[in-house]
Amino acid sequence: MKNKWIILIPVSLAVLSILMGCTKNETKYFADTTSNGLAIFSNTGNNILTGDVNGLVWRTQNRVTGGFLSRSTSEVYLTKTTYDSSIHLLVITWYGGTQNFQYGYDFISLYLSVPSNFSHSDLDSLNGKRLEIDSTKGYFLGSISEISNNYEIGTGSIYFNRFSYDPTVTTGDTGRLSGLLEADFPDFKFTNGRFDDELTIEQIQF
Amino acid sequence: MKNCLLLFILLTFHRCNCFSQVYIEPISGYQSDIANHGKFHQINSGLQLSFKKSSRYELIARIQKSWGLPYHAVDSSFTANSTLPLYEPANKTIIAEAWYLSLDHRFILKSKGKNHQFSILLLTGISGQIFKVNYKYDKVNYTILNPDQTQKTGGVSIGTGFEYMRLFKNDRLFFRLTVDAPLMGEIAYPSSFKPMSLLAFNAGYSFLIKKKKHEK
Repeated sequence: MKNKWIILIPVSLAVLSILMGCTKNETKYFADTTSNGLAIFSNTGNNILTGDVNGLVWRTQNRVTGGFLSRSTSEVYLTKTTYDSSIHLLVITWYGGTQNFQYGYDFISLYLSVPSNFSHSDLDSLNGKRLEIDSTKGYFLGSISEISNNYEIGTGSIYFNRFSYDPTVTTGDTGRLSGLLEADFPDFKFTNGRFDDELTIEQIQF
Repeated sequence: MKNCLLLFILLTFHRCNCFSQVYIEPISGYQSDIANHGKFHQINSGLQLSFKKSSRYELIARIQKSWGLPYHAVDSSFTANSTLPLYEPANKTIIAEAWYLSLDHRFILKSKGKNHQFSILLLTGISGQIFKVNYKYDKVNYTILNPDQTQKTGGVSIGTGFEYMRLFKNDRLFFRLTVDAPLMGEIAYPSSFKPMSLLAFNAGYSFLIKKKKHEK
């Protein structure tokens, strides 16, 4: 009986550790020494967005992959939505929070007008573009729980340093989204925003 | 750092008995980094004590500082503000410096000439490298893409080289060409540079400060 437990306990622990221990944090944070608490502006796939919200540092949640018992999370998702069957919008949403509300359900979204036939193979067309986001081209939507419980609509500008996606690539990068953003909302300003995300089939949801 | 210095002193004095002939050797020279495609160059200054253990071997305790020469480059900075130009160059200056605490080994080769001596050098010690990064750009409106930052690294330093020495009555003049292996230490930050591997040309002069006992 004693021998049975001697074998069973280590085997159970080994199986459990394999099931739980395979998660991987794919977010890399490198502090920008010139900006208090912000990450550097990069295009190397660090999977992070940071910015200032009324003087507070806002950052995205970590991208975690793998793990049999735990759910994968991503800091960014890209979707498409349609209003009134004629307005088509590309939606890029970053999930995160301020230091006090980290890993909450705060988000910053960009709603960008696109043609009806816009598909993920057209994402490259935004590569290198700087866009003024006003009511004609789209808008920002933000929710920062530390400031208000409302969803707020804002305007601003965004620069896509890199925007590419090729799902046919089997090894290496399938896509990259990096750039800068500034947005004005009624109750807060999102400034010094810089993002650097790898794009895979997990993030592209259209 | 203090522990390293203490270990260095202990090793030096442990290995140097009172029967050695002792030289003090100021050295100076120039070195160039070969690990980063020749980006970084330095002026060397140092001082070493050489303990002549036999006619074929000398142990050298070396302390050296390598003063960096500026390396200039241009990185890219961008802004999301559409009232400003999208791109602006960010002028970057990197000064890469190094220091050494080393116990070197001089293996003297057989030579026909009485006043000439050729040696193989083995350099073993610890070394530190610092890369000081400075940018000039519009810091209010622009953000640098993939910026470099000041980095420090250090670790065990190993190198080898060749030395020619001209012998005088008591003193000696020498020229040496050495190369260091890249440091074991890593730079954790995604930099445009990596730890240096230095190819150095130095010259020095040996002043005899202690003769062997039987020579007194």
